[in-house]
Amino acid sequence: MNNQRKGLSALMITLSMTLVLSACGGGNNAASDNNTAANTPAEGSAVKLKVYAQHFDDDTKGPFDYAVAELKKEMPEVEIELDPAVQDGNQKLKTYAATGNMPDIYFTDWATLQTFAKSKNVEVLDDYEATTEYKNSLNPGVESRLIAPDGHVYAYPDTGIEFQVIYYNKTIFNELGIATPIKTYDELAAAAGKLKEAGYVPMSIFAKEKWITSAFYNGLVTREEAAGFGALDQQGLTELPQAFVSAAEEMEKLQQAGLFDANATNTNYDQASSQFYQGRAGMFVNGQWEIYSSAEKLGDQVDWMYWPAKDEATYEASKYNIAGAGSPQGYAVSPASENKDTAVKVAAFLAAKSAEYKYTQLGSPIVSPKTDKPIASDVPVMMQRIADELLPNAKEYAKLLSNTQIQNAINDNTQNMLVDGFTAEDFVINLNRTLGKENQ
Amino acid sequence: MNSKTTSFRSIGSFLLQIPLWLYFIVSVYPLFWMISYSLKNNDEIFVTNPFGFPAHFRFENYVNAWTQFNIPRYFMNSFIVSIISTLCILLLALMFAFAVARMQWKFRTAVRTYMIVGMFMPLQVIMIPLAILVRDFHLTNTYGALIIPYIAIGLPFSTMVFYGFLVSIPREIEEAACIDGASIYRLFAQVILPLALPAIATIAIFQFLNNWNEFTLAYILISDENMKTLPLGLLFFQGSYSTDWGAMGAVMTIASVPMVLVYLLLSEQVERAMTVGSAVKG
Repeated sequence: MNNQRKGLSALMITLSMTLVLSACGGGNNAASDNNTAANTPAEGSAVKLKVYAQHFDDDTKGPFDYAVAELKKEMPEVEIELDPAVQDGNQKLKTYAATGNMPDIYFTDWATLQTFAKSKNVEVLDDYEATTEYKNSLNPGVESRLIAPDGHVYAYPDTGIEFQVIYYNKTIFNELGIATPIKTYDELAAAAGKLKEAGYVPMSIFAKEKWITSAFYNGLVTREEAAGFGALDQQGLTELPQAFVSAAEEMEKLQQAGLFDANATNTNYDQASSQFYQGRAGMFVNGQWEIYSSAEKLGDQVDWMYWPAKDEATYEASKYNIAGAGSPQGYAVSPASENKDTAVKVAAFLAAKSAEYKYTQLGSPIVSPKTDKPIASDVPVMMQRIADELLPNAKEYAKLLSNTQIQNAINDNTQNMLVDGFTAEDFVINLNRTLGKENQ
Repeated sequence: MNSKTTSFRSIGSFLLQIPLWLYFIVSVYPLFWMISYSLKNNDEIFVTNPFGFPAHFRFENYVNAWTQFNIPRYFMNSFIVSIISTLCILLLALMFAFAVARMQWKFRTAVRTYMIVGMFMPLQVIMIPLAILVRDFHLTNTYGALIIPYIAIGLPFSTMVFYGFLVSIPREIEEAACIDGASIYRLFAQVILPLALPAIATIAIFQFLNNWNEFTLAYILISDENMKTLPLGLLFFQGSYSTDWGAMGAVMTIASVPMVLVYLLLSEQVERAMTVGSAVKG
């Protein structure tokens, strides 16, 4: 009996030890890694910086890997440890912040930067030399990407101000005799009717994501209010201005004309883009970044058009109002980083080199800092049109709406606009209620 | 029996089988769908052929999954974490359930209730304190970061099931073993353990499945590429703008194989749990 007892005890101890050792074995490594980063490096020794950034496809890997390779030449003593970010609305980053486990450098958007500025999880970069140099290198008109509405600099951006356009399939339009460019809402509604009658989805939209319905609505708003949603960010403004009411009414009319698929609010990006690329949809709405995919999938069958307006005169007057607002975003630095000064320099360097890759390798003119290197690849015709026709003539970019409550209300209610029975009146009542609370 | 009666019977038997065949199709279709979409591209999955047989077998999805994605490493990590967690859950839960179901001591009801309360704790509530604990114990990016929480999370439900199973075992069995001179440990190892095998098989399948598929904790607590488990690896195919669903389907198909094997190995025990009545003949 004693042997049995001893055997059982031995089994228990072995299991416990296995568990503890397997856990602690790696833990020591992690601890030693942290310690390396935690110590101020001696001259000539390696500085390890943890970078939390998107790194999962050609769109994100290319610029990041290029920037890291360039960093190796410029600052060989810096070693980058990548923590790949995923599409989770920055939940993982927020958990890092809540647990005091922030990476040295992280890439994030304005909504998260606002939260982190309050919780002191982002370094204010105003007084760093790298910030002065970055400001001097900016392309004209993109200051709002770097300088936040409160006047501070929290992150170094790589892209310029991105915006939305309407893509259309030229072959389908020619087949149905739809004239382009579509200039007015009436023409767009008529085109929707023709497309629907011929069995096409008039406009493919991934309205499962609320931002795209919001972006669509913003496109309509900017025809008569160039500041877009930014116009709602004013104390005392408790009722939607007329331009917003008109845009909601037009959106309702377009929905009733069958512009959007009945299942639009249940459609994700992959479904919506496949519909367009398979020739099942006449139009598709997304940012200018879609140009690369659409050119690859549809070649010269696809082109983009400006947002329509209530009449031709308004269209001509407003077509260079850009439906995209510059919000601060980019590579930020954690105040808890033990190598903060180096991290700031590296963050600025990564952003600048990432922009350089986007300009030289992808031919994108929509980058924040200037680069003196030439474009080294074939630029899609649609992107060239943006560079030659739109950007030099841009009259005004939409302004940033910083109030997240108002933005959330717009997101929810524009998504509802794609559903039968939700009227422009409902939209206006809901938005006025939120404006009344937030701007009083 | 004439041929007319026989044909009526076979028609009747066929009609009776229809609901079963329908149930079979409904049950098997998701598996078929997963395998078929692992052989399609995004356009086929979403637009041209979402529900049917693949028009072209795109085996390159499996090649992409294998070459672009560190499957052996993620597979091994998932296997280590799931096996160790499941074994520990089984051992600890069974011992605990034995102590509260078969032994008499002062606070056993209170302790059992305390354990069961753990079932009602949403993961989101404990996430941040847990992440801080894991960091402070220097467990981040180790197997321990997942194994220990998985054990803690798996224990309440498992003890509840084992408790229910153990209380139904007749006392006479224990009394007979005691009269024959068995100690408490021998009684547990040689009498209770074999009797509880059907419940052990059920919990083993359930917990292995949970641990194999767990995503949220692994996502927060693991960032090292070498320590990632299969569910985390699936994120690899999610791009900034689009997702390679075909390759993701291929990984999911590969990842399902161990689960199917575990179920096939243990399903007989589970079925026995449903059919075995009293261990003692009256």
